[in-house]
Amino acid sequence: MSATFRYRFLAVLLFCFCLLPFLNCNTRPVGFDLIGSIPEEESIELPPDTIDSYAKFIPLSTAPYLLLGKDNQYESRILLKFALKDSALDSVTAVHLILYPQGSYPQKFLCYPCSTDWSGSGVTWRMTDSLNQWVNPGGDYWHLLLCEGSLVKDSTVLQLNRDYLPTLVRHSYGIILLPVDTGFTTIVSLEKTSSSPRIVFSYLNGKKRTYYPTEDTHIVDSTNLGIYPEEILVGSSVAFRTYIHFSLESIPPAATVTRAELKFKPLTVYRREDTIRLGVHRLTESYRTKGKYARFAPTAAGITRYVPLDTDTVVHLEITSLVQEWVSRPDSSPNYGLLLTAEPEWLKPFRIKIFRSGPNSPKLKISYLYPPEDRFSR
Amino acid sequence: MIFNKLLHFTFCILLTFPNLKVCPTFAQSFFNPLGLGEVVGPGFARSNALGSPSALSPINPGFFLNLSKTNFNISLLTGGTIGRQSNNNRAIGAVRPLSLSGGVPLPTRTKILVGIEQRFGQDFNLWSESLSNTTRYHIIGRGGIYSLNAGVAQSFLSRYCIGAQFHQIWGGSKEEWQFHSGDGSIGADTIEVLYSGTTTRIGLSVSLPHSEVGTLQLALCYDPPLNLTARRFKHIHGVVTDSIRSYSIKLPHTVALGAVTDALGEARINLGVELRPWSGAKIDGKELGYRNVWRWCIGIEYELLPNHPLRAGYSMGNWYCESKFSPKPISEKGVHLGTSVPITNFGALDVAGELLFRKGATSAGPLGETAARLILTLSYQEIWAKRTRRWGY
Repeated sequence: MSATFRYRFLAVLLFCFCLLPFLNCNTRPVGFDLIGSIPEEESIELPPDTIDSYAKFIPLSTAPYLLLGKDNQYESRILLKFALKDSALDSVTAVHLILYPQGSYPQKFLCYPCSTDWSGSGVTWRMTDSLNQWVNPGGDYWHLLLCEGSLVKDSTVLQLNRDYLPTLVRHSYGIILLPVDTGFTTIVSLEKTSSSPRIVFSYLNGKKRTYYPTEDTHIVDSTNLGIYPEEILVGSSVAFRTYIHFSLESIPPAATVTRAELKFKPLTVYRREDTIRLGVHRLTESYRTKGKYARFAPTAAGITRYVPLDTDTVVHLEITSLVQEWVSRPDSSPNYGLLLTAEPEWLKPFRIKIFRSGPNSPKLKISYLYPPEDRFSR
Repeated sequence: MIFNKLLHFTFCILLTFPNLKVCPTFAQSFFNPLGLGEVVGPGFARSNALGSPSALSPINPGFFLNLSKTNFNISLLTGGTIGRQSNNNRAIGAVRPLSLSGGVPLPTRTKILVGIEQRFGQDFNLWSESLSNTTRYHIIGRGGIYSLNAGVAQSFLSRYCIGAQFHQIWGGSKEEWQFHSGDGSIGADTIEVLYSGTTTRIGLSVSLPHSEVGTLQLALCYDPPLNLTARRFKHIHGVVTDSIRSYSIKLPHTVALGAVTDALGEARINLGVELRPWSGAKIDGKELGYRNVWRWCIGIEYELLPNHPLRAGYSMGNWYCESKFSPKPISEKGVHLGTSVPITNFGALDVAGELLFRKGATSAGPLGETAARLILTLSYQEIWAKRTRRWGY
């Protein structure tokens, strides 16, 4: 038996044994019953102790599309802002507005120059930015009709009234598109550079200059709705938000929450989305003292989506981590309640009704475990 | 060449076999959640190959008949365990250092002894059945109870040796209770236990020369009752709660006896017995419900080739603890094999392989496990001539 043979034999033997811990690691319950006492899982279904709802106009500039249209419940207008150059306007022979619709619905619209400045990050149906209001809700504009047209498939090219060009360039803050007919369509926003809206100036010398929007958004109104104040709603475009609070005092602080699920059966009132997406956010301030101005975590604690094909759709939102935080760290994460919203809220308009009470009302089902015992106590 | 091919083949199997899940599951025994865990034997390959007779191993401070050499041992354990219960099989494994010991002789036929040894192992890894539709427990236990020891051995008349060793007990275990749902891990509670205590181990051995049937050596190792303090901390979801608690554990004494003889010529026979009368073990004054158990082993060492002793052993015994729901003891039988590979001008590499068969009754039916272990001990032995010059006698 040579020394080399012996050492190699040992090396292989050691190598094979070292591999043992890495092999065949299944998770079958072998030997688990040797643990004497296992904390049992308990479940509880809580009804909300407070539920409330409010509506809020929200900026929609983060939406990846621009919505234009109206019906008996909603109206959506489009605002576009361009950095047009105030030079050689006399040599401009034609001005064209080019839009790229996403749908095939032939929506008629009117185009006016805006008379009040607005900010894309804060503009809503009521507000020009986060601080100032429109004089006329829905946008202030010069009653100078730049163009009138209809969105057609692929692209729409409209010639703007050249007579109002100086006003458009020098005294306006972009343009506003107002829907004429009932129905909705969308156009591509500035996010997609290749097909974003644009204005093209044609000059006497044959040259052309293209302007792309510096800001764009759509603003949505739902003020014509006959909503009862006690109605509990969740919706998008005009944000309908529902505040729900559950008392968690019955859950022991040391418990491990294995599953917490908010469930309810909503009634779809209105929708322009095939799939409804909902999110639930943790409130970081007390709704009881601050009302609709109470802040909430921007990231949803739970998200769900469903297609409301029938009336039996039960919505489930899993919020295990959030409930665990509330239960085990009530000092650093106080339970101010939940805010149920559309997720995201710039989705095309939809509105669902949530029942305050009864079998379809929201319930929070919590499954939890008590802490385990050590090896000497179990 | 054949070994290179074998290594290559093993790698290929691991990487290409479609149903083989490769992930670490470090644990020693499925029975380790019970009591203080598995009693760890001497932890030296030479002893393990002979059935782990404690009294005839370096952990016995009185078993140093040749006290004239500086020696040093370090051991590594690697092994895998397959558990079987109710048509379920599961494999776990562990790689870890096992023990460390050393001795330095003094001119007065005295030897200073130091070492680290593991007394109890508490590594386990268990999965539950589903608690409800989706949730499962996954409990991972880590740690054990160790002792840091220092002592002295004294030889008399070249036939007797007596030794005493002070043991500072320390160690800790950490049990992580994870709760798994279909979406992944939900949370984890952690239970930590820190152990401390002191004890003094006493050892004795005697060599009885016999001209006709060879030499007989007898050894005794006595561990007096051990008082352990265990401090428990609970971390609920990462937050230390107020559930800190101290336990006072009293473990009765342990006696180990051993005998080795070369009456069969070149074959040395080793016999070992361990007694653990632990039915009186208490925690905070209450009985723990442990058993009085004993363990015996027999081993044979034979030099098939010069400087290549072949060792084999057999052992059997019961665990001191049992399942709460079943009064039947956990039985353990072991087959041990080993050899030594001499290392020139250094000492030897001792190798031992063990197959342990354990069986216990639980509320869910019998649980059996087969543990395969490889123990490697790098053993340094000072060369007599060098030491003579150093000490000058």
